[in-house]
Amino acid sequence: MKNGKYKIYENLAFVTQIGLMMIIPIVISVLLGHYIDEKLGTGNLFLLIFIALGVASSFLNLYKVMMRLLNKRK
Amino acid sequence: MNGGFGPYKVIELPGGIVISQTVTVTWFIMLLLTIFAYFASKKFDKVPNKFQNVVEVLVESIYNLTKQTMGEDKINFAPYMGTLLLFIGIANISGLFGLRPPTADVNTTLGLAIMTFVMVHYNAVKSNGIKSYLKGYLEPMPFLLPLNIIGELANPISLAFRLFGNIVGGVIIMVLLYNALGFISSSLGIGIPILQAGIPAVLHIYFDLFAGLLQSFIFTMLTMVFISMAMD
Repeated sequence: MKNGKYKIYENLAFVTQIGLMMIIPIVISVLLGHYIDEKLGTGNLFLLIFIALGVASSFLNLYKVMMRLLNKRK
Repeated sequence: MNGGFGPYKVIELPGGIVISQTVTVTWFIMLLLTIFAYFASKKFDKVPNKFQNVVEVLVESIYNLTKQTMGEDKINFAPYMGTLLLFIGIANISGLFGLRPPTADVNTTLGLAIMTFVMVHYNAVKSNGIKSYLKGYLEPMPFLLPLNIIGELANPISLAFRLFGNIVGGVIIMVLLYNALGFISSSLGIGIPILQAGIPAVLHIYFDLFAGLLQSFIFTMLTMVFISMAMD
């Protein structure tokens, strides 16, 4: 019973965190790409590269967290 | 209570060091917790009195929570987690006493999140060795290295901004509500802002008590989960 109670809280914590874990890598990469573009004057090249990196990174991050949580449940 | 954004200067020390309200309220909370710790651990009886009972329940539940979330072998983290829970909890509910919560300042929350970040990586190196820690960045494939680095850097930022956003949102809504109630009562021709009494209490219970305690709990919970994930 006690174990189940804490599991609920752990899941609740992750519910509020996962949305942010999805968006923050993308925001970081957009800012970084924009900054490098401004410094080097390369138009939108690095912005596009970093957006792709950020999207892939947020997916990978979420996938890893979810896999570890699911493995722990078994 | 002052406005939502920006530091509220209390005094400026020579050399341009600004002491903001965040810092003074943090000092106050530190003092409160130190006094509590002093009196809570001063005298232990075999048959506990009421105060000792409360302290024992608090300590036991923090140890239990750590044991359930992180596992029996990581029980040594319980004092740090308890400190984090008490500090953030009291900081969040300090809005009830008309203070500006220190967690409504991104400097405080980012500082706490960086502490978590350092602990995660220090303990990962300590328990797995530097070689397998660095190898973890090349998994599942070596070309995913930049993705892993961005992902690791995003964790403290998302931790900090969730806590900051929740608390500062509550603070701003409360300021707006107080201003609106003051305006309404003055336009009704009442000299004293009588409407400011009573009506905000419901929102104070939600934003300061409920959301504040929930967020402090979630921050502690996520710190525990991240550390135990990095160590396994």
